[in-house]
Amino acid sequence: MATEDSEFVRRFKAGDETGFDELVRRYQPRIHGLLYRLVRDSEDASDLAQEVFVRVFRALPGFQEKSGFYTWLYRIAVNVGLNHLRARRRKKEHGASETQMDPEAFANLPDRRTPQADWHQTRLRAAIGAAVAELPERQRAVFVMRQYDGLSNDEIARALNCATGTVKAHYFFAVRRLQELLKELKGATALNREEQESQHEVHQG
Amino acid sequence: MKCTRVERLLLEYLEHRLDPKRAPSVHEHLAGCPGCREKLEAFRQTLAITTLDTLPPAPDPERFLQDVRRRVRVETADTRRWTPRILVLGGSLALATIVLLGITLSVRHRPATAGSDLLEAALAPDTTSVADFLDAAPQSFEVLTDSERQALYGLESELVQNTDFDDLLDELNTDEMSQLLAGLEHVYGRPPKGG
Repeated sequence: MATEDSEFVRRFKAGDETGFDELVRRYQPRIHGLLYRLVRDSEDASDLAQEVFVRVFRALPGFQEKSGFYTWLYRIAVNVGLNHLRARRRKKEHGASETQMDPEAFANLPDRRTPQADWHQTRLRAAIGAAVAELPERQRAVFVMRQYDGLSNDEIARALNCATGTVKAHYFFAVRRLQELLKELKGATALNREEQESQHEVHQG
Repeated sequence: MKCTRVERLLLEYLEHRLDPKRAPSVHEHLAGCPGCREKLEAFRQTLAITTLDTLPPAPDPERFLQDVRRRVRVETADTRRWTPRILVLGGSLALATIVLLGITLSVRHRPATAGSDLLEAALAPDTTSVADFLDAAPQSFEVLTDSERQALYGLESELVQNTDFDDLLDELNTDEMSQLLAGLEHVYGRPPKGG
């Protein structure tokens, strides 16, 4: 894959912009996923993903390929996501009223009319999203990169330009905080199964 | 090994990422410590729950690509539109101001090496806008805060809209950007007009 990336980069640098198109097609879902997990808002994630690729388009001619293309792209995306989170936090600090609901935390709350399985999945996603949204930006980024993207501590440290020990500490405190926030969800899957079984029995009866 | 030390290693132990030299002592501690075993189980459950989080569908790839290309075209056109107007202002005034602001901000509360890196990025031949400057200096994400980056964009916008330097200074001194520009006092050798 890295070889193909290099070929697309080479094509773009040679003036063939379809090389860029291929890179966008290849990585857009992953970058969107990363940004969604960071900002927990699908529209914002799409907008930020566009911003990432616009930056890539402009910077690609100067890309030295000292790292792989995806590593470089990923780093840009993380920075764009973190900047967005910082901006949003400052906006909240300066403008939002204390009683205002956090759209990030509640955007995905389900409607009770949705089918049972969907309702549980959406509720779960909303609860996890609300918990992750409670984490400070850096902890959130480290958690997402490690838990969902499977990056090593060293890779995260390089992407965030910090020490490996700092990454370990962020991850530890992130998980510990999530543990508190998600306490009531423990056994949620078991509950989900029980409710589904009881629905099944009603239908059978 | 003490419980507090073991607790900090539990996540790596759980994910099989722990240094092999340390793993046996953690394993041994866990065998004789119900409290730490409980903590290990709590971490395991927490991580298991978070894996249930699913992603919404990504945007349609072709439509997304079209949107990106459109944004690239618009931003490129914007850059071309303002560049000649900057020249009207007097050569490298805009760039010099951006450089000075960048350096001032970086020196004020950032690592010492950041200033020279920003200077190099700002003086690069391809740097003709704030967006170029930020692209050319990836470390600017770390060095500059978001409000400082916004201030640079705001400064750029003022430079584009004003063709008279005195008017420009008056304009700058009427808004919050003057607070940031006040930091340039020692570089200019005099306080900003009206500041």
